[in-house]
Amino acid sequence: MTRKTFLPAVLVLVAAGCNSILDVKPINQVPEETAITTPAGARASLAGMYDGLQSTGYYGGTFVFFGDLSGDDVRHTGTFTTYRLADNNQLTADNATIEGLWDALYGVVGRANILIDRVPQVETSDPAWPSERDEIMGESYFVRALTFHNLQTLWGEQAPTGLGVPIPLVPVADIPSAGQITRATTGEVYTQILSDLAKAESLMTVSGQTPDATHGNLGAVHAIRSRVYLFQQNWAGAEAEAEAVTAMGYTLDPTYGDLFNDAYGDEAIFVLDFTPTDFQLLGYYYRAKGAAGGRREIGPTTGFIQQYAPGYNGTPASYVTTDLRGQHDISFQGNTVYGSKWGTGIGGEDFHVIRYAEVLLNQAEAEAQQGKLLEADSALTLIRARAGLPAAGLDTMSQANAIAKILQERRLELAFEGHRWPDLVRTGRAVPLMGIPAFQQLYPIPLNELDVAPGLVQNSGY
Amino acid sequence: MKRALRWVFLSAGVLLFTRPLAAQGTATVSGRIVDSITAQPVQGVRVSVVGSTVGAVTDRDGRYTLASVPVGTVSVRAQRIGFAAQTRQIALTDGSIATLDFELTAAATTLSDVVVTGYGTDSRANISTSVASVSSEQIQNTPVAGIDAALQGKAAGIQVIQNAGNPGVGMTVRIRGSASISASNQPLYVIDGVPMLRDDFSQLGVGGQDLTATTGINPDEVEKIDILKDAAAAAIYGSRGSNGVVMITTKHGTAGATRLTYTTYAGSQVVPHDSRWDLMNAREYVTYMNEAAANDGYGAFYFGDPDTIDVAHNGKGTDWQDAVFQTAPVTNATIGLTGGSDRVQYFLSAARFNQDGVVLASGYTRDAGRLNLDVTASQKLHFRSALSVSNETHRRIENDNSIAGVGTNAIASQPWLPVKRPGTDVFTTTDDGLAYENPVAIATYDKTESRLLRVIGSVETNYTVSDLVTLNGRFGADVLNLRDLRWYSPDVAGSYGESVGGESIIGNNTPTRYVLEGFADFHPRIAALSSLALTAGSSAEWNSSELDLVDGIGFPGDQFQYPGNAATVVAYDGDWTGHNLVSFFLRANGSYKDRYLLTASVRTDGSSRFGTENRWGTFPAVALGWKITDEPFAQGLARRGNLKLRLSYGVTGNQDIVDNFAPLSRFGRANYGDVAGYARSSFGNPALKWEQTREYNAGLDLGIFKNRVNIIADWYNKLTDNLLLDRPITSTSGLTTVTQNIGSMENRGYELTINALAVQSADPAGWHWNSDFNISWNHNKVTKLFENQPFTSGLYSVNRVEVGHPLGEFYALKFTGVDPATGDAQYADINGDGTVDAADRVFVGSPHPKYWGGWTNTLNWKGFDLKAFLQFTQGHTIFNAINVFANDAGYYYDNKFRSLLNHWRQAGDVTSQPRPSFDGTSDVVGRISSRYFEDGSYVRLQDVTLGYQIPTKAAHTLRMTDARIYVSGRNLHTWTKYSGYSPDVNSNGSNSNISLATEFYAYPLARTIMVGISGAF
Repeated sequence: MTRKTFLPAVLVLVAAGCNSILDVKPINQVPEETAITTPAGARASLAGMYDGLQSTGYYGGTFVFFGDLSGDDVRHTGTFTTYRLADNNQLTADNATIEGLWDALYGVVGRANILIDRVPQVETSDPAWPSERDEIMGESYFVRALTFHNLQTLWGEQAPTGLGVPIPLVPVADIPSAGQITRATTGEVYTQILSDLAKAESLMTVSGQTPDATHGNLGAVHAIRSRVYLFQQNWAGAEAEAEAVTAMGYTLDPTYGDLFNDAYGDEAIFVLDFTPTDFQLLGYYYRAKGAAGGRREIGPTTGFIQQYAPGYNGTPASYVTTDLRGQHDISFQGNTVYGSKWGTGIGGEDFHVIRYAEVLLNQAEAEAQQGKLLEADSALTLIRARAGLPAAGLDTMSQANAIAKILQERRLELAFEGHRWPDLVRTGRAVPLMGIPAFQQLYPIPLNELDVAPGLVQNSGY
Repeated sequence: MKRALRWVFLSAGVLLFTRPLAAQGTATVSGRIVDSITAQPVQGVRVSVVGSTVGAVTDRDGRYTLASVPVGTVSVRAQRIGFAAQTRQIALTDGSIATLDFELTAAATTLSDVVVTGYGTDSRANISTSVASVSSEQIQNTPVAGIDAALQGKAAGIQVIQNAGNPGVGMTVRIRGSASISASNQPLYVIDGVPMLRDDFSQLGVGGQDLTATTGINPDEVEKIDILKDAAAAAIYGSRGSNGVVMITTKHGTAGATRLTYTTYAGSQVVPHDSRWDLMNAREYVTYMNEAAANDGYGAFYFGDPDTIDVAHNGKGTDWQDAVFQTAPVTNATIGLTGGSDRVQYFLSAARFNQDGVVLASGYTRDAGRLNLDVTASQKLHFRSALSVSNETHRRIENDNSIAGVGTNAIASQPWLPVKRPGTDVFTTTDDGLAYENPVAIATYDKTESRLLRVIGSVETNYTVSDLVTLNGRFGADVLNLRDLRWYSPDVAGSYGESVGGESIIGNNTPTRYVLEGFADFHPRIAALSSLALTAGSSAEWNSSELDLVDGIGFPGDQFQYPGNAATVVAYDGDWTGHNLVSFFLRANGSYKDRYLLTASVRTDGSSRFGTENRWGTFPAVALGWKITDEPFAQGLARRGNLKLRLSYGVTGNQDIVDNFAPLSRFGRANYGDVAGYARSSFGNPALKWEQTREYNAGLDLGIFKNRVNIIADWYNKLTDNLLLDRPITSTSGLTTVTQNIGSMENRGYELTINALAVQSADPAGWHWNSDFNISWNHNKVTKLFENQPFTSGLYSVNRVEVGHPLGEFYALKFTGVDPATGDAQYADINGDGTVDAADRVFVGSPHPKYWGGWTNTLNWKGFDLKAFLQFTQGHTIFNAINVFANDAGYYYDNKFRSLLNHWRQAGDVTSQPRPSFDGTSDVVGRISSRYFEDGSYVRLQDVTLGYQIPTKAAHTLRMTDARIYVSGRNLHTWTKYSGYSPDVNSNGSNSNISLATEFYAYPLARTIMVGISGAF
């Protein structure tokens, strides 16, 4: 090879080969095109959807925390300013934790949408696939309905013609079109939630008692529907759905504390299976520092503790209660009081998205609203008996007092599980009870979200 | 892949293994080199035969010998930093022994230097691009771990931000401003031709500060550093040039007797008292907090009776800063061995650098060794190798931007509590009333170490085919293994470690880079041109990185510090990633009549990081130079100095994004319980391509007073388009960002460098005064964004990215004072809607300085030398986020700034400090306002060194040929209005593009006093 031809020859030949040097593929990730083309891929993506429910923005943390911080049961005792502002009902559209909450919930919607879009396209000769496919599709619709409802309770107006939350139903085709999204009306949101639940019910076959409670199931569909109807004040519907759950054979577990320490049984309807590597923050953020295993970012308010022990004055000695829930949920380390619903700070305890106790409370409330105080009392008695308390005798009260008593029981039974704030807003008590400006009843749509989706209208007041 | 590899190897192989041609006749040239003014011998002058590899260096007596010089008329060049280079011709016949003496004239270093330009070198006199140079003398014996710290204030156009004072910490380096939003803004480092790994490969989060792989280079091994600043200079590194290129050349051996050099220093570091945060003492704190509580109805002595606290010390209580600070040693010892024959020259060195931190439990140690070899196999075949091995240990503590660090908690802890329970050896805890973990307990029990083992090497061969053609091949490797080990002890009361019974994390990360390059130099003789050099070549680069991690909790006790003893594994990882680069480049360097200069280059890069649609990018550059004083009409001027004008334009790129697979839409790990799962983790963008910077540069090089004063001035305009941006998208899509090429940014600036031999006595023992000054102005502006939508980033979202404003300009409420009637803080209601909220934020300052620079003065008299180095940065604002907790009107338990003592007490009080309120009712909490921003301008006396050259006779009695002792101080004084440890702060670490100049519990900067000795045997 002469000098003159050497270099050009090398350049040409190297150029011919270098496109293959430039093909570098990831190893721990799969391309989207092949992610959901087989039953195994569909199963992995289904697990991925539940993983989204576990994220620290959702049931692994913020969604549960803020559901109580905005209410009056707990207060901020840690260092995160964004939590403090939620506690003070001083939310602003630039609250980073609110943005994380919004992102986490819509992240799950996105994962459900991909499953709903792609799973029907899976081709396989496996005869077992069609039934498994239907189960996966049903679970995807269920999780989407659940998440739309959670979004709606925090961000959506209550009136059916009011501003609901955006409800994307298909995976985004391209980024510019994703930015065109607008808010649905509240009526449209509920129509979609109920439609998704109906599809889930028609596709599913697994009824759902433990150990199947870690996935969406028929029992969970009825249970969530009773909750949705309660929020819609469709009392008859809520009652009927609750009864459907009861008919499936769910019962309260004998020991309240077992529910939160992975020793639950037939009370579980839909529970998220956490391991220490999934790490839910609940125990860690509620428990006291040090030996108790937590960081006490959040603590129970004195007002809440006094629901159990009216004479409580801040000292451990003054905390005396016969309510077994109060004995389990409130503990002291030295003089520091903390929420002890979850037993460790390791984060491996499963979280109950919905459990039979809530269904009974939904039923009692729905029945009381319809004037069926005797029926309501029998549902409530089950709850109270497990807590070591006598029957409340709702049938001897006025309807208003009976409803108040049921809501009080709901407050105690579901404490720290993220229910208090949505319940206060739903029942119109948030403003009078907390003395907050009316607009703070709805969360602000994150500022950054408005920047990139200009069609979204901010909730008024923010 | 295989095909391409074969050809790259073959092309390099041809270069490496071509049989040397037989030598023709040779001669020997020797001589002596003296200073033209003092007539004293000049040591260390590099003498070389132009166009060959024959070379030598003068000894103490100024003598040199060149063997095996080709016969015929040859040009012999003598050059040394500090003197004007000289070339003389001599005719040689076979076997002759000729004498050739030189008299060199001292000159300011700048314009006589040789600069490394990437795939070659050139004399500064001949370049028309913008390149800054820093010599080893300017960076050696600096008590810092990395060359980046040593570069601060040493060259125009390069801005080094220390970030914080942690030993071995990564620094923020910007060459001509920030050119990117989401890709890296750090320059490319090229060491002996090998593009170096630069990032932080640790898997541990320890707060804002990160590591940098650049600390793996021992500054003592560096011969010189050249910084390719304008795009025309950097375009030879094409797709990686837009942040500038730092070319590091390590020391090589010189022929002659073996010479042993030894340098060592030892110093003591402290946190200067005047730099500490001015916090309340125990009595002040309790009094203030009582008032905050009383104002909200908690009673008079909610925090206790201040008069009963630490009565023995008048209520002083605990100074937690004192409790965690220590006087810390820093030591360095380097042994070098250099010598060789005319065929083989070697440079061998071994060094240990140890720097304990001024905060308990922190420090850095590096052992480094280097062997550089030059082998002349024949007249035509030359090998050059560089190999360094280093072992670094970073002893780390949680630092900036962390709310559980030693330094953080020392600022936050309440002063009324002691470090230990009275009369015991037990640390106080949250049970005693501390709001946070005891910082001394954290320092005592917790441990975080990152240990790096690193090999960087290159082998280069040059084969001179003929006078016209030289072929070069180079193989380079940078192989790094980083092992992380963290221990959160259960013995730290109130900590996560105690909560879970101890946590241990072990991680390994092994990034590697291999580079294979072949290029040819052509020197065609064209009669019309006075010189022409062409370079053409290709390069292939393979990068990969493999990592693993295990994180376990639940241990039987404090002695079990590895995850092997954990009860529960809570996190794990194992992954591989990689990216490759293939490049071709061409460069022409020519001059006409020796005074009209032209450089043109083009590089084409292909990167695996981009989509198949836009995988290849082309980066052209052209630079013109005009040596005016070489014109016949300017002959009169030429005797007094010289003047050169430079103009350049070039295009460079940036491909430095974290995600190696950004073009692909992917599903990544998303496990549920015990079920392995995955979910969509990224929206791919197959159209993704290079970020592109176009840069114009105009400059002049001026030598006046017979070149005793050199001035280099530059103006530039740097326009970056197609910014690689992790653009926020609506979360309703399921994800929150996508990487796109969107947006533009502009950096414009001026740079000025002045080097002056202000006083030069004819007597070598007389007065000599050298003065080096540099200053840079840069103005950064975002010029385009996606639909020009602004967005915010950074701590408390204070950094705004908006068209027409500098990147990350601070955006917050405007504090208008304290209402004298109520004591509430007040803010400007900008939009006039009656409420103050996020919509009322305004720009309150820029994190980018208006100008910065450095000024070094060196005085020599008899054997004494005195150096003083001032470094300055002016015109930037600091967001001091510690205010959120320490200037909160008493809402948090954290200790407070003493400035709060001047607070509002009753109606009518006029003050800037709101009413104390434990419940946060004075409108302070959650309000990030102009109250929390400070002027960050400073001038720092960075270095003063007094040295003494021991007289030769005395040195000889110590069997030394050369010995110098010195005493030196670093960070001696800072003139600033800033209230914290150092205004040179960036608590978000060196990878924070948008959120610079934020203070959030930064590690303090040490003041060092040290003594040292350097000598040769």
